[in-house]
Parts: sequence; C-alpha cells; structure tokens
Amino acid sequence: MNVTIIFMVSLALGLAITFIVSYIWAMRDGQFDDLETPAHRILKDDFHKSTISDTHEGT
Amino acid sequence: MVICDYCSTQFNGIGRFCCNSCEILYAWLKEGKSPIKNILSVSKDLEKFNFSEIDLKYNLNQSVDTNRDFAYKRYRFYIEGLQCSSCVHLLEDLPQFEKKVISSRLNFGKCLLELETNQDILLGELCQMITDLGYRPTPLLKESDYDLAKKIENRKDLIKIAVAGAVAGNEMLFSIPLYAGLQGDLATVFKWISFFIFLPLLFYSAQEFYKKSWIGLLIHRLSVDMMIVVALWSGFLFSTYSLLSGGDEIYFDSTASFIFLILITRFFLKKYQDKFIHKDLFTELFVNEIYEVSKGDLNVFRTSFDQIKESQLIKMQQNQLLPCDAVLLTDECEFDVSFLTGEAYPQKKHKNEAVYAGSRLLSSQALILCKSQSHQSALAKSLKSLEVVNESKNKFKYLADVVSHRLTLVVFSLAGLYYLFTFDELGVEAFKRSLALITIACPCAVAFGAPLAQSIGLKKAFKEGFYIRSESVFEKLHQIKKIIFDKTGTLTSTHLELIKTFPHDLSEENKEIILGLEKKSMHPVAISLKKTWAGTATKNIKQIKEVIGQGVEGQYNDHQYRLGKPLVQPADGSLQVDLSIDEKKTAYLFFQEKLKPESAKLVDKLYDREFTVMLLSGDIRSRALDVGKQLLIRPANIFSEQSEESKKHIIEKENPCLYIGDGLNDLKALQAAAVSFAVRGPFEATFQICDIYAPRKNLMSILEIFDLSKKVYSVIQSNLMFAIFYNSIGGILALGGFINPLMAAVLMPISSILIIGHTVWRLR
Repeated sequence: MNVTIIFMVSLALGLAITFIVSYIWAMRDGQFDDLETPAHRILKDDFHKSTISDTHEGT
Repeated sequence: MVICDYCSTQFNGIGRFCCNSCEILYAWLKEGKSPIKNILSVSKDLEKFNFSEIDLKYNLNQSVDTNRDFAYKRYRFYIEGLQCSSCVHLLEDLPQFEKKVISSRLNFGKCLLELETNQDILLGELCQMITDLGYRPTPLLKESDYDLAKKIENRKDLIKIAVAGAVAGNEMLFSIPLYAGLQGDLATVFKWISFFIFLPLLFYSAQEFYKKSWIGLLIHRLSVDMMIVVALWSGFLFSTYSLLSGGDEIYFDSTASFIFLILITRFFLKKYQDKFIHKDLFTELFVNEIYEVSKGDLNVFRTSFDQIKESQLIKMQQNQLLPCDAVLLTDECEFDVSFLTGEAYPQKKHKNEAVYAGSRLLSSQALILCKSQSHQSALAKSLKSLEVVNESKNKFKYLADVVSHRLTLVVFSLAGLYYLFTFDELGVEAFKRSLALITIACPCAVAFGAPLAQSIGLKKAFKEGFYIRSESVFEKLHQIKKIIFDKTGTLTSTHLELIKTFPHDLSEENKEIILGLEKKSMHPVAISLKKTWAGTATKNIKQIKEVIGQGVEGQYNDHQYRLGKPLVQPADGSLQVDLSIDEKKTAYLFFQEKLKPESAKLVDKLYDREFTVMLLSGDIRSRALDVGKQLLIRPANIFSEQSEESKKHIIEKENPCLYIGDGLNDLKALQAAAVSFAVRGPFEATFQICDIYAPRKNLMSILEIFDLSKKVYSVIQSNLMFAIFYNSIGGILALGGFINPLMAAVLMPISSILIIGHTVWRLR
C-alpha cells in the first residue's frame, strides 16, 4: 500500500480526533456559554495596565 | 449618528460619549480622575435606592457559599443599558473600586452580571453602585438546581451532536473513494475505517434514542425512537455484514448523516421549549411585596412574604396582595378577589371572617391575623398542584406518531414476511433485502419532518408575539370545534362603564359633589366616574366616610350626601348606585361591564368559521346573559355562577375545546382545556399554564394562531403523504432487489432534503 495514502489517512483521522477532543474540552470548560463578552474583554488589558499604573503613580 | 470619543461606537444621541462607562473611563485615562469620585459627579441626578427596603425584598436572591475559606455572598443581576466594551470593562472592574466586591463577571449577550461579595455589603448598596454607573440593575432569583442541571444537559447534548457531525463528515470522506470505484486492499481498509469511525455515534451520540425506546417498550408503546434505533442498527448490522462477507453495501455514511440531522432538529426544538421552564409561581407573585408585621406586641418590623409566621399580625396597606390565609381583625374591609374567583366587584369582609391568600386590599388599611405560613395557603397548594398536573398534561397523540406506529408495524411485518417466504429461494439475499427495506423505509419525515415543521411554526408564532408552550398546539387546534370564553376580563374589560343616569341631565353641581365623595376611593365605580367626567371640577367634601360595601358619605354646605348601592339591584344585570341628599334619593347612576371593542367581531368571525361559541362565568346569571345577548351567544351555551372547580368540570366535559381566559381563578380551567389561550395575565402563572399566551396582542389574534396552525398541520400532513409514497416505492425496489449500495446511499438523504426543503418553503 502506498505510504502517502497511509500518511494522509492517519493525518485526516488524527486531525478529526484532535478537533473533536478540543471541542469537548472547550464545551466542558464552559467556553461556549458566553460567546460575546470575551470579545469585549480582549480589548481591556493594554489600556488597563497603563491606567492602573498611572493611577498608582498618581497616588 | 455620532461617534463615541472613547470607544468609537456609532450612537444616536447627543454628547461625546455613547454611555456613562465611556465617559468615566475617558476621564480616568485622560485626566487621571479616579472612577469612584467621578461616578458621584455623573450620577447625582440618578435615582437613589432605599437600601434597607431592597434588602428585605430580595433576601431570597442571594446564595451564601461557605465552602471557601471565607464566607461570601453571590448575587445575580439583569443589567439594562449595556452599550459597548467599556461597559464590560467598568462593570468587571467593580472589585477595584469597591473592596467589598470580590469578583465581578458580566455576560454581555444575556445582560447578566454575577457578583461575589463580602458578607457585610447590602444588596441595596450594590444596586446603588451599579445605578451610579448609569445602568439599571434588576436583582434575579438565585440559580436553582434545575437551572444548573439544564445547563449541563445542554452541554452534553451539544457534545453528542458534535460527535455525530464529526462522524458523519468523516464517513463521507472515506466513502467517496468507494463510490468512485476504489477496489482491492485499500477499499477494504477504507471500509474498516468507516466501521470504526461509526462506533462513537452508535454507542455515544445515539444514547438518547435507546433510552426513549426502552421507556417505550416498558410502557408498551411504539415510538419514533424505536424506528430510529431499528434503522440505525439495521444500517450498522447490514453494513458490517457486507464488510465481513466482502459485499459492497456499506451504509455507514448515510446512517450517520441521518442521525446527525435528527439530533440537530431535536436540539433546536428542545431549546425553544426550554424557554418555558418550571418556576416557583408563588414566589414570583409575592417577591415584590413588603409587609409590616408584628408578633402581637408593639414591635413592628418589615419583612418579605416568606418570613411571615403563623399567628403574627400583618398591617396591610391599600392595594397589597395578601400572602397567606388569614382572619380579618379590622371591623370591615373591602377586598378585590377577582384574582381568585373572577368576581368583578369588590367583596366586603367583616371582623373574624377568613380572608385568603391572593386577595387584594381595597380599603385604606387592614389588620390581619396570619393563620398559615404563605407556602401552606390554599393558593400555594393550588399553584403547586397545577405544576404537578402540568407535567403530565401532554398525553396528546401526534399525527406523526400515529402514522409512525402504523408505518413501523407495516415495515416490520413486510420485512419479516418477505424474509420467511423467500428465505428458501434466495438464502442470505432475502435477509439483505429485508434489511434494505427497513433501512430505506426509515421514516425520515416522521422522525424530523414533523418536529421541523413544528419548530418553524413555533418560531414564527414567537416572532409575532405569541408564546406557545408546546408544539402539540398546532395539531390540537386542528381538532377543535368548540371555543369557550371566560367573561370577566376576557370578553369584557374589568372596568365599569356608566351607561345612564336618572335624571338624564344630572346637574354639574351633583357631578362635582359625587366626584368629591369618590376622590380617594379605588372602587371600580369611582374609577369609572373619574374617567367619564374627567373634565369636571371636584367639590371639597368634608368628613368623607367610606361605608364598606355600601358606599361613601360626606358633608357639603350643611347637607349630608351619600353615594351607595340600593337594597335591590336591577334585574337587567347592570349595577345601580344612588345619590341621596339628607336621606332623600335625588339621582340614580347605572353601570355595566364594558365589552372589549373586538369581542363582538371575534365571535362573529368564529361563527363564520363554524365554531361553537360558549361563555363561562363566575358572575350572576343576569350579567352573563346580558353579555351573551350582545355577542349573540345562545343562552344554552352560557354557564354562569361557576366556581373554579365547576369551570374545570364543564371544560373537561366539553373537551376537546379551546378555552380563552385569564387570571388566577381561571388557571384550573385553562389547564383542563385541550388548548388554552390568554391575552392577559398579570403574572408568570398564566405564562406557565397557558398553551398560548399573547400578552401584547388582543383577542382577535386567536384567528392568526388558527391560520398558522392550519398551515403547520397541512405541511406535516403532506410531509407524511410524501414519506409514505417515497418509502413504498423505495420498499418495493428494495424487495425486488433493484437497490444497489450507491442508490440506497443517495436515496435516503434525497428524501430528507426534499422534506426539509418543502417544510421551509411552505412555512417561509
């Protein structure tokens, strides 16, 4: 049997298993419970660090 | 449109910022102003909360968790006014401004804020803090075990669907080379891969079908799930047999896609039904009331309904709802019991008489002795019994179910007979063909055509403003020929209408005196008069005294005026009130319950559609007949002076019928009816009990629901017709041995696609 085929088939199955396992993990972790807020939260960090340090310096 | 200076969101309005959060964060970033100081300057005009009050109200809301090293409270709020990312940032930064808040988590999509706080912060303070930031918080009841279980179940369902989807996709991937004519060792390897990929679906994703089929077997009922299980296992066994015997009939891919499609359709249907989850109706009713209570001494404290104990004294205020069964200690008081009995007119109660939970006080004050804790009251018990019965109400036989039972029987018997009669002649081929018949004749339309039509119908109704509790409504409505109306509050409005006065031209002065007498009264008569004579001035009457159940009296220009009921009421069903000056009758006023403007038109339209219309009322016979006369309802179809129980019995006798009603007194009747409909209902209970609830619609909307259900029913019907036709042809071909693996694999999804397409197109 062609080595390429074996490689491709195992790759396809491997990918499928990886995706399904990561999906199950994400679902159990509650990552799909809230799809909107994390997108807003991601904007926060940079601004936040600078303002907090500013405020602390000021006080 | 203006662009926010801080977050660049486009918004309608004036100013530089889209919301308070942006303004506060901008000041923090640019000017170094501490948010907490800034909050105070922004919020000075905003509403202030009464801390102690709100804490009393919502002491049901918090859940205290002592599992950690330190005890903390957990609160949930529904937040109105969320605009942009700044809102997320600011609300989640609460722990930085306020040390008593330990953590804060916002769900932007659901507008849900979860806070964990120290023990020593009051809910009122939290509400104040959130209000100060420019939002409107509504504290929510704590998450029940039921909600949590639901959440976990939802996740499990999604994982099962994901696994089924992945299996179906990969099965397709490995089947394409086989369809394209792959032969030899590689073909065998691909077939074995298909076999192994199929196992997670067979043993994990399909668990629900096994469970339901097993329950069906236990109660001796054929169900759609059994068909699915048989199709699934036939597909699996048949393909495995082919695999082992070197044949080409491999159905792993089509069986997997079939299961995946069914799982998805069922998930959406379930998602919709979850909107109507079980709630504690009694708590919903009283959660917003605060009562003044004492233990018989001078020490008066304020508390929520669930804290009131037996033999405590409640000082009720006007318009409050009584939370427990009790005894009246005040000499005389008037109560609105329409909530409980449907009686439109207030009831007079005397000292030492029993009053029941759910009565609303109309007099200015009353002292009441609590006889049972709120949760042991007759009202609480009745609501509880409704919840129990509600769960067992769905014993309805769907058309799709009926057809599927027959189809299952026919298919199984045909396959069995075919195998028995042809086994000698055809050998293993007979077995193959019988299995092919079961696989191909698997009733796709029955399995997901009907749920799909129902869920699209439900979604459509929801968009139009109808809350439909169960998808069975569409089919049930189709069988209904009788429509029973409740009178008070449904066909008539709860307000009284002044129909005539005697003398006909009542003097302005008398009108002004009457209005003066009724100035403070909440009685329906007073409300009606104030509305009818809205432009008239009011005389200043002295020494106004409300004589409970009789009327009001007072002094004006040294004359004693009295407005009250005569001893005998007129026979035509109207309500008479007399005005007397110094004991001498001078004017008569006649009132009538007002028909809703759409009532007559609706009844007329229903007659056009050949429905039998009936009237059910707790009111006296003459009033019910009067309403019936105006609506052209035959006296034989009018049932008056009915109690909650007897209404229920009448409806059970008349079933299948559609009952249109509202209010607490109607709940048992609403529940007994095959289908119930309400356009009005002051609280959650109506929503929970009623099959169709349309709070923003008028009565005429029932016609819209009839039209929609007719459409849904006809789609289900034609789906079934199609399925029977398609399956018969497929079955004949399978038994004749004309179906090869490629054809079978193509035929099954094609029938599914045709049915989905037809359903979506017809209900678009």
